[in-house]
Amino acid sequence: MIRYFFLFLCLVLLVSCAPKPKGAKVILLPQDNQETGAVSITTDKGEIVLDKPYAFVSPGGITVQKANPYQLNLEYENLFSNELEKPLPAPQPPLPPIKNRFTVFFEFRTLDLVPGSDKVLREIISRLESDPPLGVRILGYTDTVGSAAANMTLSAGRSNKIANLLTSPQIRFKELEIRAYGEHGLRVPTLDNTEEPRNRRVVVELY
Amino acid sequence: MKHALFLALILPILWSSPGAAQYDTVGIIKAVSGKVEIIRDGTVYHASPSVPLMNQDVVTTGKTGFAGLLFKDGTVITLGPESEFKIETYIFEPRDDAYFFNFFMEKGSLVYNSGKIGKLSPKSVRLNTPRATVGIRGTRFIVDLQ
Repeated sequence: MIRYFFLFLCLVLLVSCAPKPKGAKVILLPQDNQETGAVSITTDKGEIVLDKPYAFVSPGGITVQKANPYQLNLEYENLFSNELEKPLPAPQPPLPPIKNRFTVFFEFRTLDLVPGSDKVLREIISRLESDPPLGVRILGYTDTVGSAAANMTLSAGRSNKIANLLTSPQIRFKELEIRAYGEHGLRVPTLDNTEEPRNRRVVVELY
Repeated sequence: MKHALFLALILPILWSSPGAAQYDTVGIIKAVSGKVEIIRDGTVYHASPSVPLMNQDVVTTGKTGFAGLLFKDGTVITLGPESEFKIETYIFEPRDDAYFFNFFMEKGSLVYNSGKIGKLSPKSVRLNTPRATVGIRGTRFIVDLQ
């Protein structure tokens, strides 16, 4: 009995000594361009939205408070003095013009193409067989059903499947790029865990 | 025969590791002050300006350390002392309509200043902390873990 009590005591000590996970204080700041954005803070107590400059929420707090800008500047002086200037947007490198863009769609959570996809694939192949050799980009996507990691794998499987269907000894490529974006490139924006046939796709770009 | 079948199954996977690739550069270390390190695949690297950042990198700062991180979309994150910050998934491919920015802050403080990604696809930007998740809609803010 005493032994059990001792074990229990050890357990309590272990739990109380473990570092407590840190709560987040979040403070919304004004932006240089005067636009007001917003942040939402979700904890086990619910969701809070900050959308006014200097609004803040304390760790574990459930109410929005307003910070005094002067005190805030003192408190975070070091962070602000080390803050990076936002750079001007870098010029985008010119993209090669895309000659054709095709999309094929998949059945729910599978590598199976929807009926009628053969026609699209045949069209891509006939374009690829033309001279001179074309550059090809193959981009795989999923809808939002399932975990992000599982969808990354699924979209990679879809891209690879299409790549295999399009390659043969008769076809020469200028370049071939295969990418997978999982659920991070929705054609039709949806919430998480939403079935959407138009998002289950592989896009093939020829250039 | 069995081996051939196995190879046929596995080859397409080996042949390419489709992107949103783990080893894509997603940004760079722009400024450091004090002790700043990057942990990549379990190896600790000294962080100095212009060192590239990749998905899954963890950036840590020492007691008097500050680190300025600049991402591909123009987002700027400044880490304060004793911070631990992980780039979980960063995807910014406007050409392919693919956006996602998910990072995890274990401890410390930061100032976040949104780049384009916050404006393009606000639902895709998330900062996770041990006890709170911050969803970001194009803005500038402080997170201080206390």
